[in-house]
This record gives sequence, C-alpha cells and structure tokens, in this order.
Amino acid sequence: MPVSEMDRFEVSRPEVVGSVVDGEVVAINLDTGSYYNISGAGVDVWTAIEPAASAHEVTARLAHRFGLPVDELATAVTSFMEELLAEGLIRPADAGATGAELSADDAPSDGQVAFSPPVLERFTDMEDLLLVDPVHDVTDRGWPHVEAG
Amino acid sequence: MTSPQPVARSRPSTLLDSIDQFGASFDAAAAHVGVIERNILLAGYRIRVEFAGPALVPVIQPAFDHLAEHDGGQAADLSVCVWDATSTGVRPLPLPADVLHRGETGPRYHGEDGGIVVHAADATLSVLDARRKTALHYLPDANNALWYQKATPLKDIVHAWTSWHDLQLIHAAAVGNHDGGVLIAGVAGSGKSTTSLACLRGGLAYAGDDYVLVDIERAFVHSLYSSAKLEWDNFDRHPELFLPANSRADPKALAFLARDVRDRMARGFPLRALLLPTITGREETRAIPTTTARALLGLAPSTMLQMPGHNQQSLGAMARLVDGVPAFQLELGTDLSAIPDVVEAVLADVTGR
Repeated sequence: MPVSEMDRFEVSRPEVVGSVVDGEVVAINLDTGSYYNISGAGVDVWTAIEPAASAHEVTARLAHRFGLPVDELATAVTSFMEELLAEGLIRPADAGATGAELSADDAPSDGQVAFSPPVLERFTDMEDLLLVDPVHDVTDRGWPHVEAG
Repeated sequence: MTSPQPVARSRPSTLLDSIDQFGASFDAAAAHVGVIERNILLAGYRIRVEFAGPALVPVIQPAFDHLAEHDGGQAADLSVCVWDATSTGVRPLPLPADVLHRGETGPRYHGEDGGIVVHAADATLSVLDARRKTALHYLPDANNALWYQKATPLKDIVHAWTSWHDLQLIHAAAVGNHDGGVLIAGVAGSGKSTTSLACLRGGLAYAGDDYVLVDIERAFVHSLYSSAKLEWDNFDRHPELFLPANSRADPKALAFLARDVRDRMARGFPLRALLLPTITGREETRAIPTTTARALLGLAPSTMLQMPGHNQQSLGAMARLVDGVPAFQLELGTDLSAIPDVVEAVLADVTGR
C-alpha cells in the first residue's frame, strides 16, 4: 500500500509494542511473532508517528532536525513508512482520533545531528513459538468443551 | 469412579461469575478428597498452594522444593487452589467463550478484567483474582500431566500475579556467585542451557534454567523453579549431577536441581549483567560488550511472545531493566569448561573486583 503525503498513520497498538533504548527502537508485533530493530533516522520516523502523523509532517520534522531540504528526505520517509506499514507496525490513523498536527518546530535540532538513512531490521526466529502454541478447544460454547459424561 | 462432573450450577455469564463457579468446583473437589497444603516463599511473598487430594502434589511441588516454607501459620499473599478431574471426580463448568480472546494469527485464549486473569493452555485452566489474592488451577488428569508442565508449574498464574507486584517473569536462565548474578537470554538453540549447565558444573549458583522473576526497579533476580530442561545427550553427559524426572519418550530431559544439587540452588541475587550467548564453533569463549538495544532484542521478544497478556508496559519495564545493566554478547567456544571462568570474569569486571 503506497503512503500518500497527507494520510496520517499511527503505531498499531496494542498488538505492536515499541520502546526507544539508547537511540534505537525495539518493536515487537505480538500477533505475528516478528520483532524489529529500527535505527538511523527511522527512530525519528517512529517517534513522530507514535502520536499519529502523516509523511508530510514526519518529513518536515526530520528536515528541521537534520537541517536538510524537505525534497531530499521525502522519498526516504515515504518508503520507510511503507515498510512499516507492510510489516503491520503502523496503520492508517483513525480520523476521529488524530491529535494535534505535528509541528516541525517540536523536533529537537542543534544543527549537529547527522542524517543516516532509516533502517528496519526484522527478526522472525520467534514466530514458531506462536505456531506451536497448542490449539485449545474453545468454541462459542466456552472452555473446556467437554460433553457431559 | 464415575465420569467427572461439574458442580451443578447455572452456566456462568460473566468473568466474575465464572471465577466464583470455578472456585465452587475446587471446593467440591476438596470436599471429596480433602486438602493438602504446601507453602512457598517466592520473591519474599508467601504463596499457599492448596491441593485437592494428593494427585497433583508430585506434579507441582518438585519445581518449588527449594522455596518450600514449613511455617504455614502466617497469612498468605496468594492462595492457589489446584485440582484435577480424574482424581477428584469434579470438573469445572465451561467458561463462556466471550471471556477468552483468540489472537488473530494463533490461539491465545486469554481474558483480563479488573484484576481477574483467565488463561487456557494445554487443556488446563488458570485463573487469578489479584484483588482477592486467590488463584485456581485445573488440569484434567494429574497422571497425564505433561513433562513441561512439571518443569514450570503454575507459570500462567505466576505471570499474571507478578504484574501486580513490580515483578517480571523473564524468559532467561540465571547463574551467579558472591558478586551477584547474570541473566542468560536467547532463543532456543542460542546456547542458553549450554551456558547455564556449564556454569553449574563450574561451581556457580543456579537460580533458574528457563524462567526467573526479576524485580525491575531493584535489578534483583529471584529464583522461581528448580527445574532444568536439557537435551537428552546433554543430560546423559552429566550423570553425576542429575537424576531423570521424566520419560525417555519426552523430547527433553527434566531434572530438579533442588533434589539433585540442592546446595547449588540460589534463591536470588543482584543482577549484574545480561549475557546473550551465541555458538561460534571457535575454541575460545569470550564476552563482548553489546548495546542496550541488542540486550532488549535478546530479552524481550522471547519473554513476551511466550506468555500472554504482555503489553507496552511490559516492554517498558524490560527496557528500564536493560538500560541499567551492562550487556554482553557471550561468544561460546567449544571448550565448555572455560565458560564459567568467562562469566565470573564478567561479574568481577562489572562489580569492579
């Protein structure tokens, strides 16, 4: 799904959880079992999207932070958001639930921050754990589903 | 004995109603066969386990033997009532389906509401009522309890209960010495058991093989289970350490260290470092400092994806933990006897000794 400039996105909570540690993001999709490390400018993209944001807003924020022209960043931001979307880490924001528009001025900038491209590293070695979870006999009749003997 | 029957009451319609009826089923089972009580001290909390009859005692008790308390006179912080249908003749009423949630990509029957947590797994049912400090655990047949249920009994209840007590159930092994201890985290096959077993052989104390409790704010590891789950070939190499506690037909060997090497079990220690083992094929073992993000990647997914009910708060707690504890990639060499020295060197280094 392409990400258009003005559509707003948000982190897919509660099934996706994420935390910023030591300048990187660790995110886990609790539904699929995949987990992720986000680094570079991807951390800024993630933190911008946390309260819901459009690609346009995220790009403006990064442009301010890294002191770069918007045009230079727009493609990188959009394609990274498409990656996040494809992994189910973000989703279109509920129009009724979006917060105040993100201001580029909110982004920290000391003019010394070097831009490095956003990187999403995906790990799938835990997915089997979900698949081997035993199937329980839960139906619309409840649990446990045992005929009276 | 006739087929086990539920206590004859109306079908429950709410979670609270379900819990009350579930409790009534335990009471009926206990009335049939009597109650056997065992007490354990877990992370400073008194847990009273009430068994309906003797059948489940050998299923649940051995993993907690190192935490046994013989003074049962004091008030319990949590009472856990357990029973099985086969030996007591009482099975629980079905829970209404809408109290349980099935995940989109897999079965995760888990419901939470106002301090009540319900979890169904492997035909067992676990319920915690945190506000009333009570829990219930049901298995269909104590004689057919699975080997890993004996290794980590009451895990779902402990997991739900810890979230009310600033504790976190962490998927990791833990070993230590007088300087404190380390968590050894990683996915299956990473060398977690190899490391902890080598450390046990090398003289370090052992607080857990698979799951431990961690006080996040104090960075303190509490032992939970005395069990060890080992590949059979690994188990067979150490006849001096372990006695088998399960069938050869099971995929892994189960041993209880509280029985086999009791003096080596530790109730807990201050957490000094996090180790993330990897198998290298080289002879030398070495510990390489790694980043906080790698530490969280090694610790959080395997913990959170194996247990239901985790959320942003759980990840935040583990992020705080790894933020305050140095982490190392433990590159495991082929000379396993050298592993404990490397672990002790890490402990000495991070504690400034």
